[in-house]
Amino acid sequence: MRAWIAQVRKGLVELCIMAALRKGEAYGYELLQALGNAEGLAITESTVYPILSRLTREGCVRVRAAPSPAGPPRRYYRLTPLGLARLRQMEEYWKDIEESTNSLIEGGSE
Amino acid sequence: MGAAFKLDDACRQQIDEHLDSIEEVLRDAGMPRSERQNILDDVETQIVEMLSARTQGNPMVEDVKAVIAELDPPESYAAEEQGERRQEPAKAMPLVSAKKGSLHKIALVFSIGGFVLPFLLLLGGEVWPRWAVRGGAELDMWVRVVPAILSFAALQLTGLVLGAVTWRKPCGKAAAILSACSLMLAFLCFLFVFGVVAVPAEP
Repeated sequence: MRAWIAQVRKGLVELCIMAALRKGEAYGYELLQALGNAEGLAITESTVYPILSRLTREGCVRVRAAPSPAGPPRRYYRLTPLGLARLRQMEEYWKDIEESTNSLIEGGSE
Repeated sequence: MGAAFKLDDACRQQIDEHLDSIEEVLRDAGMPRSERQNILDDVETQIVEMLSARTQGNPMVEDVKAVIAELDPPESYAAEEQGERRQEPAKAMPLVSAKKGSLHKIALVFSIGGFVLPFLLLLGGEVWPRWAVRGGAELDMWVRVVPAILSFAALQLTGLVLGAVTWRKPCGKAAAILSACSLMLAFLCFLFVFGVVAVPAEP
């Protein structure tokens, strides 16, 4: 069961991160705080930061460093046009599978 | 907070030890240096901001330890990262590349099969069905010679193409060379047999 939850959560966290970035740029910890309350997703820094790093490598987000009131500079992440296009595809796919999964679950429970 | 925020050496050491542990885990998981550094920068920012919110500027070692205790253990980065790396080859690699694993062997099978099958067709006359033998030379030509030539050409051509695609593998290279040579040889034989190239007459 835990393995299944981990698999489902993994893909969804990426979608949630990108959806949160659509509202505007945010630095890692800020994103973490915004997403941390999502029930069931258990979003923590060991999940978010590697995904942000990978999205940067893949060109889906761009990073801008800005001074922080305390400590090292904050790294602000922003969606690129490529990232936005991918987010739209992910949302579309998510809506499709959500619908069909719900109908299967509801059909099965009748 | 802000300019008043200061970390003494002991606090700095605690933070560095945590960051070093994460880096070690990420390095062992095969993550490139630049990506490791991105993650470490984000973690460091988070630690400092958590300390800043907790202590209003002058954290003690106990504060740092308490903040680090709230964070994910370094090992948890391994689970995330190794999962990513496991998924990447399948995600990045097109279907054709994924199948290339055995294509070079298939290429060699085609090249060798290109000899074996026509050989069996041509020399299997003794055990050929009776109707083929009874049909005379013309029928024998259609059930033995033509299929042998066609199967030879088809198998060798397939072996040549697959061998060229998987040229980097020894089997692929062998298949391509074998098929190319046999096709050239067959073409020369064809030219001689059908008199396109004149054989010098004996005096």
